[in-house]
Amino acid sequence: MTKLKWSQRKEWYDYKHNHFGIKYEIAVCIVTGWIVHYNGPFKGSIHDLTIFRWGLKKLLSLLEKVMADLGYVGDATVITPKDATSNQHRLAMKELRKRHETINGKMKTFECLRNQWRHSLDKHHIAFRGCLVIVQLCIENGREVYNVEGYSDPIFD
Amino acid sequence: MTTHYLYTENDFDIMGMEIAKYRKSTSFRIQRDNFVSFYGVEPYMVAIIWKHLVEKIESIRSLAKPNPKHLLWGLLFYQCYDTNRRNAALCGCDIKTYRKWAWLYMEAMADLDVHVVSTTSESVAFCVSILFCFLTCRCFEDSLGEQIRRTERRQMPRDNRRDHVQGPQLDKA
Repeated sequence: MTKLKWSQRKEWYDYKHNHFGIKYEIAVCIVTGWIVHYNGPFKGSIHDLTIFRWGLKKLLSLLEKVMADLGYVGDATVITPKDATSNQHRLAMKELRKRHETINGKMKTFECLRNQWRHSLDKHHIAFRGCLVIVQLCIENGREVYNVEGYSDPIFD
Repeated sequence: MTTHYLYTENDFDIMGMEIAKYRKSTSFRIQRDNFVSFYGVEPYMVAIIWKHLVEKIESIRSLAKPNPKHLLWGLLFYQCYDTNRRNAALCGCDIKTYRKWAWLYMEAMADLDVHVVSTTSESVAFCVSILFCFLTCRCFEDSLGEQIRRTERRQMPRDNRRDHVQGPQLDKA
């Protein structure tokens, strides 16, 4: 059990999940469904949008955008469900977010990411990156990902 | 440079069942589920990971004779996340030996991210990414967390609890 002082412990508390924890950011390609980016670890109290601005936003090319959930509202490079132009567009974005949740679920099949971390905090990223590699290799080699047929990307069409 | 023998799916299946002290099942589905419950992935995926490790990671390539069982020890850590003593007992080795080899292979798998998860790959260039943050690992199981959970349990409606459910044979009426 990691023992920290209360003042230090507060920094790891995430209001959304109502628990202490470590945060990572994962980005998935819309076309292939592959994991293309990760960033972390971060303290649980850091907002998702802040993490995005620190890392992935700087890597985006000109006119490139990301799609994310409502937690990311407020940045011009992020398309959120609020930006949906039509009902079909909204449903398509919903399907893509569902696919991302399946990848999160696959990561959480590993007990080391689901349970209380008992080792040093410095070592947690090793376990995370290892699980990420395994999940990505599984996706590349034929494990089923959530099917998003019927979605038409406005940029490619 | 030494060339390493690439182990097949069947080799990992047999080795994995030896570590888990399981008898190999005649049913394909049961056999696969037994393996996945211990190592998190199917045997063919372990063979693919092994191929990537011996080809790309220097710490594994520099070993005189890398043992595929050690990769299974690392996967056992990821999937079961038991204490080192219990895992070492399962693997039939000393705790220090287990820790040394399991963490070596776990770090090697983590280092594969440069090759596997890459934004510079041609297939993913110029595409829009979908993004999420997710919170992992309840790393601080402290008094406050326990208190929150206890409060939630108390507030849960009585009908949703499973402990009051009785089978038909227990019904006195």
